Amino acid sequence: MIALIACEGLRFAYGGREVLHGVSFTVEQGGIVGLLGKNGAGKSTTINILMGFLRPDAGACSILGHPGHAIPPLERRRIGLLHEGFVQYDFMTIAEIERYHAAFYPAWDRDLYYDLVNRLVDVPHSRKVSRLSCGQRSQVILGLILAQCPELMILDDYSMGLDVGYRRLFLEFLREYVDVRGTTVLLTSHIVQELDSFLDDVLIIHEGEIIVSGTRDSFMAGFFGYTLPARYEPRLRELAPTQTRGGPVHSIEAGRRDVAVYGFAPLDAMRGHLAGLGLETEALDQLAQQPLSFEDAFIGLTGRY
Amino acid sequence: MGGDIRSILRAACMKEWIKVRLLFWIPFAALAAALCDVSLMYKGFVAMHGAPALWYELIVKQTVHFSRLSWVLAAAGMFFAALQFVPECSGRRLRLMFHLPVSYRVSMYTAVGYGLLLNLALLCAAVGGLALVFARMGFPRELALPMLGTLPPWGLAGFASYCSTAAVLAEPRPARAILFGLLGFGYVTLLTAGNGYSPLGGNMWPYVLACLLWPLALESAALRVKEGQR
Repeated sequence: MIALIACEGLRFAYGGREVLHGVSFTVEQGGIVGLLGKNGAGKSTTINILMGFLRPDAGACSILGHPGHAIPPLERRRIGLLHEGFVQYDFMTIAEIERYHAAFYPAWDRDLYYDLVNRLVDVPHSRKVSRLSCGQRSQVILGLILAQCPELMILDDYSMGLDVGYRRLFLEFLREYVDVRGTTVLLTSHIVQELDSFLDDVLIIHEGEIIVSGTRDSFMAGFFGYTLPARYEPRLRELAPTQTRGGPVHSIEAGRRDVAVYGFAPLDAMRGHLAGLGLETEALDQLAQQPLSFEDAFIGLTGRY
Repeated sequence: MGGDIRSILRAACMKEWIKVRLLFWIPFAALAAALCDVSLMYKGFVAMHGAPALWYELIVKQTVHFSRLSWVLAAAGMFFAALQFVPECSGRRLRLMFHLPVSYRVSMYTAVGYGLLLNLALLCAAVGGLALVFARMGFPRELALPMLGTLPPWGLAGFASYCSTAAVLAEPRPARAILFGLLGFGYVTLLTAGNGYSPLGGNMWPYVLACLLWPLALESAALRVKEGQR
């Protein structure tokens, strides 16, 4: 497989506060990859470094074989980029912004743009993008990126401002687009519940580190959640005061009635691990595996606030 | 089919037109008002003091009665820059320019060129309008030409004020933005402060060449935005 994106040991600090602590990952050709993390995890910083809008303090990244800070202008035709916050020339009208962007891209697909934009109800093409609602503006801007027909699409926080219906519509559209055209998509989001069935690979970033990298299926097959009655929480924390990322006990989350234990160990292995730590048999008997949705697994990995 | 340089340049010009189309006439209206004021002032002067007094003012004292035009031209530079670069630079929009599949210089210098043309059009309108005023007043050619020669340095001041305002708007670091602002103000003051007609005479080229450095300030400010420098 060809790595379209490769990052190695990226470190970056804002005013002395390091926010990326050696981020490494690759994105191979084909499929939809989610770079997921909570707010402030380092997703947009990583994208900005990738696209050459920030210089890392250490490490390197390449995109389509070029260093992020030195992507030749013509190569940018191959990259559709959604800037964080849906930044665009919103002083133009819906029609003008299409005409403007079409001039830069030989493979521009005008019909595709208007296919998406015409789904906006009662919005004439002569309306300025700045006068659209946040969700409508997002739709126009996503339409611009799709119409470029790029090989690689980077969508930074694509879901911002989109209502749940359009998020679903867009993801279905994107899935079909990727399957038909073979485009590779790297998208970031902190809303994960709708992404479950759309992602091929996941990169989960937490506090400036990639803690999961691989296919969505292998992640979901290897990550488990368990519950114990809440009274065992102090004992659990006493036995496993620090949790190891990627270890059998990844995290412990206290709930009102139960305490949840998340980790990369199936039931027997988890029982064995907790028994080895000294958890009493009575507690081990009550350890119950919980089915995890993608969102549950994400919370298990990154924790609640 | 997009992607060829002609389509790109056309699109870049279209973007600049979209930014300025609603308000570009304001400096021209201000210029027209200033020219009317100059015309009325000359007529009033002749009516109150007589033609010999005006002649004395113009020939002997070389009083510049139309110095208000210098501020119209300089302020117009700021205005055009604001029209073009506020929408271009606000909200990290400048980064869009760096992701276009063409050198950022094409977009940036198209914008600067567009601004230069607007400033030039205003200067031409000022020269033409003032020539008309002088013709209506019956000033001889030998007097009118040196008087009109006062305007080009002011036009240059307009371009300097345009570029420095653009650099201030693009600059992410406040200290540098203030520096660009002060340098721009100094340069504009230098170009508009001369006494008498055609104050720079035939020595304008060094000032023109110095003015060509201003777009570099804009470029350096834009590059700092591109690389996320704060």
